Amino acid sequence: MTDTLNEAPAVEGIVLTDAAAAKVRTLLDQEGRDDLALRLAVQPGGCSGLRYQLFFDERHLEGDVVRSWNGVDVVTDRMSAPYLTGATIDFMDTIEKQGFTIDNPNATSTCACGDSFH
Amino acid sequence: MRVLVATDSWRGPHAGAGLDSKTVGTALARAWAELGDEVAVIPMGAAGQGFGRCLEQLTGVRPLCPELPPAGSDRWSASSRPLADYLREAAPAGTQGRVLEIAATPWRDGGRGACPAIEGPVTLVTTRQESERPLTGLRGLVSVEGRAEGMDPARMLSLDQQLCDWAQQLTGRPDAGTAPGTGAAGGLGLLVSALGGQVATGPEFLMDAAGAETTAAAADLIVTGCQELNMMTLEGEVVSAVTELAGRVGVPVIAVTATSSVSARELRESGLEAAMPLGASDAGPVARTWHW
Repeated sequence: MTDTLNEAPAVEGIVLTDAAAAKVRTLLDQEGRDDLALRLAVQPGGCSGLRYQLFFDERHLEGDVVRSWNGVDVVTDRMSAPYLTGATIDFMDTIEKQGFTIDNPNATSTCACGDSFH
Repeated sequence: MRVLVATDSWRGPHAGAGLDSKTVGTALARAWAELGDEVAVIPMGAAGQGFGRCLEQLTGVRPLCPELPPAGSDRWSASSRPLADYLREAAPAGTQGRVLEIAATPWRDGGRGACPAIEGPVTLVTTRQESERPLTGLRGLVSVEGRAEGMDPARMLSLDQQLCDWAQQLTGRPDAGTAPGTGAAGGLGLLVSALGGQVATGPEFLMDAAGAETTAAAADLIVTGCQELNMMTLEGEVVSAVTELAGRVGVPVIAVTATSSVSARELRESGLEAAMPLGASDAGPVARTWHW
């Protein structure tokens, strides 16, 4: 009998969970826009040195990295990309937490507000 | 006992040129010498704040120190070519092995304009902040200054890409500008490292030139200081460099100053044993207190 090892596919770029993709779809439909992508960017600052920006964006910037999840485009700029490989955007709707969350394997520590990491 | 004195200059808010590091250091050293102790004095200064004079006092050679206007709104289009003109005149025999002291520049071109006039390894001595700064990437000069200016992201990425292309031209690697220090002096650090040189701070270079590590390890006490010790000057380049040196060699370090407003707790946290403000008196009482 042979064991079968299932290798998880190597994840590059940003991952959008099904729940998050569905939520984004709903928000875009409410706006009546199909030309917007979900942009995740990192900027210097915040209590731990770097902070996230998550927003809808119609622009395409030179060097942008784009991935599609269930019809939703997730885009990040060339400067932010190295800090976001393998980061996962999820959407939580529970009594404890409502909203988009970002789980970033690159982050060595985060601060209490959840906004900032390094 | 053996005492190493490596203090900053005393330059207060009052009018006048103040006292340079060697003058202050020598006066302090005398207080211990009068007690029969062996003393050594290393002149210390940061780039743009006395480094050149200290280097000359230590080695007999002045660094190349161009006079440059501050960065303006045209920083992204300004060229480092004026540096090439300066170097041709100030170093007609060539720049190989020379020390270049630059605290701030009006250009951000990665040294492209100055390139023809720089050959061989040089040492760029600059401020601590500059010496740690990358040129490209998220934490680089373009990103940080661009964001501070509220620059359009497309323009910021384009300027960053141009410098990545320059880095590739110089080193074969487009990400060479993400290394600390490559952003120093408007990106001149990138050119300097690509040519085999180094980027250093004033205190680091002076301590290295003076063999401070060896002298400090043999000392029983290290004395540093500045005119006024407060929560800002506690992090000053000279005071922190000497305090770190003392920590590395495990020798107690005190700060002798004119005035001090730092608490004992903050002093200990910074690595200093004590601050000894002189007020109106000389260093005699301090030396007698810190003598064994």
